[in-house]
Amino acid sequence: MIELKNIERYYPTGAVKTYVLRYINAHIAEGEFVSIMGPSGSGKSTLLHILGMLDEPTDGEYWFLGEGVHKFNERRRTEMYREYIGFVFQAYHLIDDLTVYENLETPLMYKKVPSGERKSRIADILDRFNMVAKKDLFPNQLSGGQQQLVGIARALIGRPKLILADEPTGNLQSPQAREIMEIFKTLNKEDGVTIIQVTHSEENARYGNRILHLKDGRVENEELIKDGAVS
Amino acid sequence: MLSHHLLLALRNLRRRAFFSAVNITGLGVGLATCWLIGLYVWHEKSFDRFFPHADRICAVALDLKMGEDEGKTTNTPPPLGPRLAADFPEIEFAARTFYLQESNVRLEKPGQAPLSFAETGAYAADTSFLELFDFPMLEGDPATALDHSRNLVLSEKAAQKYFGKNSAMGQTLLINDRPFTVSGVAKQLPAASTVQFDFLVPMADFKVVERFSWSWIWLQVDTWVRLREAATPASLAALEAKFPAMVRKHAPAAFERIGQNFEEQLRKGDRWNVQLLTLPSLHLDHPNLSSRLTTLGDGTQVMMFGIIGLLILILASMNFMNLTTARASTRAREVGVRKALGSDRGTLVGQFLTESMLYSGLGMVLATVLAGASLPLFNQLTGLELGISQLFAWQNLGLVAGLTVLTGLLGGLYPAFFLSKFQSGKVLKTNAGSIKGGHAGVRNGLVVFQFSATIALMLCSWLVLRQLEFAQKSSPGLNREHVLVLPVLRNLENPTEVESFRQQIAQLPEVSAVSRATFLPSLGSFGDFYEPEQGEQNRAVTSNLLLSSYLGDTRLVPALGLDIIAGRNFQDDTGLGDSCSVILNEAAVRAIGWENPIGKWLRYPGNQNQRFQVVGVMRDFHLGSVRTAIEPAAIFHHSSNTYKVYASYLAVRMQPGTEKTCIEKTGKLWAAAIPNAPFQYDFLDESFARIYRSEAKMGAVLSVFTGLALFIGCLGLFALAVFTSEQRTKEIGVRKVLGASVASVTALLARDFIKLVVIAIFIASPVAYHFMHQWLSNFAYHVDIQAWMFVVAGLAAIIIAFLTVSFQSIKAALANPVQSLRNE
Ligand SMILES: Nc1ncnc2c1ncn2[C@@H]1O[C@H](COP(=O)(O)OP(=O)(O)OP(=O)(O)O)[C@@H](O)[C@H]1O
Ligand SMILES: [Mg+2]
Repeated sequence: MIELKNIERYYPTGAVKTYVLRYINAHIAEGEFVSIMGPSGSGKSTLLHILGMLDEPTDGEYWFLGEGVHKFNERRRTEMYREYIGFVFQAYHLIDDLTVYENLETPLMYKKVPSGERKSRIADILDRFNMVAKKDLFPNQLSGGQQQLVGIARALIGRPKLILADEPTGNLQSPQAREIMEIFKTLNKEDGVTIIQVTHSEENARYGNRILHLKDGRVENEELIKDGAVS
Repeated sequence: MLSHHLLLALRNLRRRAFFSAVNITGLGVGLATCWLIGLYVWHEKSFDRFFPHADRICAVALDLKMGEDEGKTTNTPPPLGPRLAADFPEIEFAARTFYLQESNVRLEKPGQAPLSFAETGAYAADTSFLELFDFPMLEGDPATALDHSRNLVLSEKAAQKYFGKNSAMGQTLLINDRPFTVSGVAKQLPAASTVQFDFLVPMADFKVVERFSWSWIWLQVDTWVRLREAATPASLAALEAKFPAMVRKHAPAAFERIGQNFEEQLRKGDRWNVQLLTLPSLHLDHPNLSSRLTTLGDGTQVMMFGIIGLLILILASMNFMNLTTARASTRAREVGVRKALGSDRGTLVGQFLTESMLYSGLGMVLATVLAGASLPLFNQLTGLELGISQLFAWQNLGLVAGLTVLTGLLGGLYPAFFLSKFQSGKVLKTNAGSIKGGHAGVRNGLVVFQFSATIALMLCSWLVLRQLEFAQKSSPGLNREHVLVLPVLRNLENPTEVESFRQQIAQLPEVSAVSRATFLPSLGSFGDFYEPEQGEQNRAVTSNLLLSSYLGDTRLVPALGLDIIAGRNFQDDTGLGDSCSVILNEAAVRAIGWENPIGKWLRYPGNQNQRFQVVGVMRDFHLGSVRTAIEPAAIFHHSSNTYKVYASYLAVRMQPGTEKTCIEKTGKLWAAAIPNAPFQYDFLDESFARIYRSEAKMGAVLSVFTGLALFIGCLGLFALAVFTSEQRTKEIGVRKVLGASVASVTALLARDFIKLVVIAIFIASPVAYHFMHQWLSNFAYHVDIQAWMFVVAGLAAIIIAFLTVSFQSIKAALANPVQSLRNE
């Protein structure tokens, strides 16, 4: 599904280039559940943004479902978001002016899901995340953890084939975090959804079938999980 | 999607109520201003276009140069109209009008007191006048209504005034005690008509015009022509090219009669060209046209008002753009997220445009209210009489709807396209969407523009007001205050009656001097050529000079408070002692070149070479507007009988503070002496002030514009201040925890804005100076542009901006830091 060839990303800081990612090569097949780990500042979010087509590599090639992402125009990217990708942001990025309900509804509207189905899907996911009582609140009326939950729910509600999650449980209690991981695992196992997550927690990482360890912008090593998902 | 956009927009509007209110108020004020100004410009531009033959009708004008005197005028001599009609087949009709000055109109009612008014709208006209214009008539036939002696055509308004609902046809009205019979009633002319009249009588009944039918010098009639074909620039030029031959054929004899050689004058560089001014162009397109037509407009002023009106709207849109882009950092994150959720650019642009259209739409609703409410003030400022129905006439609604959409686009497009272009990755990468940097530049630029415009307007309107004050108040050599002016000639034809009336008024204890004079300063004068004699001096004097003169008596000098700086006033009113005396002003002495004027002689070539000896020199005073240099002027004594004019006034100098009783008593004397005419009076200072109506209008309108610009600018600044302090709450909180004082935080926030205003001062000053300088060049006498004006205006702008900003800054600085830091 995903093929990264010598991906590089640098920022021009003054006269010198600061490399954030260097020589990233990776292959991720459909149905995999991959965790990315590494110290702070090692480039995990940057890599995930590139995978999510939110950012572009300064060098190297990114192939998605056999197509070169560098050739995508804005319209094609929009299609990708509508059809394939659900993104969980590290900083949640809920829309401040919309209620919880409307935040969840937004991707469905862009996907042109009929309103009846929108309602039932939102009701369903609110229920699943125990947020029914909060549906009419605005993001700034929620706690950090609750915002994170809405962020995850919003990524899942469009039933994407690829979930990209940047520290999806960073602000959650371990039981809650475990629940989320279980949901991810179920989606991965039963619906064949490909998942790539960034995490600091060894425990969460083990829900996947593979761990990529990043350090200073390079893939330091790759670790296969024995009882992980099939590859 | 649209309803979704609208719903969201409405919610945003409510959630950000303050910024919404600022936006809508600003846009409402801007739109209302544009609306009203549009109405005014429309009115001015529409002048005379309603006439069915507007493109065939022309006013006849003269482009003259006679010695030092030069200019273009619609004042024409009596023989010109008939000649044009006779000599040129291209001209279908020619018609002349002769203004009857203020006339006393009376309706006798058997057994009742007569209905009597002093009327300013009376004209004698040629029989073809009505037909030439094709004025719509309520009663009577335009082709024949003025054909018979003592016929009278009334305007609809005049007919109603004297006859109410009854038909006026066949009724008799007395005009200056001569009976006329109503033979027609013309439908009320629109306000946008150059020609306005209330009473028209046949030219043939006014012998004075007939008496001057030989004269190409007596420019006392207005002449109109109607062409057979619609006028084009080429056809007019072709026709005008034939006029000089006509002038050369007929004018020299007339000039000969007053002792001038026309051909030789032309050879010396004088001009006497006849021109045709098309009716649609007449109102606005001929600046510096001297004319008896009081309805002429000022094209430059109309254009200036239009441009400034638009500028106000642009300033308001800038607030809108500013606030939208200021929110860009928050909005950008939203855009990024929406894109990552699958939104395309079109949808986003649609969303932003819906929002801005909603604002401008609401702005228009507010504008409707504001425009309606300020209509009376607007009418007062512009001198128009527009009703609500004209405000909502379809052309205007179209204009306003267009402007609304335009502002919606102006305010919305830039943010819409700018924001929708954001790349998700760039915007979403970090927690704080910090992308305000780029926009601060644009925003600062807009604020600088707004304040530059405001400061420039402030300076210009201030200068106009100062010049107006100067023009109205400063009066060296003439004391305008406490002078009552009574027009009497029309009412008392016999000089002995006038004299006895004068003596009665002079006996009032409140009166210090009463003089009888033909014309008075600000009310006109009689101009003619005189030939100074060389006398014993060596330096050559000018051979010929145009003098504006008054005929007066010994009391004219004290009554007007004139200042005799050499020689003496007239001494003798009874005998003929001063019948050959003249008092000159300094300008005349300078123009002539006499080193020692007292005792020198002037010859008047027109009247059997009458000679006048200079007995006194008076200090220069303004005869009329300060736009023109003070002309050579003279006072002759009544007993000289040197010329006769159709005007006569009493100038009454009152003891200061007694005006009210003085007018009351004078009114009683008038009622006894002139029972047939209503008591009329004027004040000399007010009569001078009326000369500056156009300047007064400009001063008033500019002041209003300045106020609006200032209001809009401050509104925007205030909103920006609120916005920045909101954005910087966290920073402020941290700084306070670290020990910053309220004052230092206020200064921190205000400094950025004040910097912008200071830049604006430096941009505005030269621009304002340029316009001020240009405007002042219209005046021969004017106030000076002084450096301190710029300093004061700049300081005022800084203080206003500081107050606007600091209110918010202090509030932010006072806020409890725990509150601002707890969130996040
Ligand atoms: N605009 C930028 N200019 C320069 N350097 C940047 C910019 N954006 C990010 N970086 C650098 O890129 C590096 C990688 O950032 P990234 O957000 O990918 O780290 P991360 O691994 O996700 O860290 P964390 O675990 O804290 O989320 C950091 O060192 C950061 O300083
Ligand atoms: Mg990160």
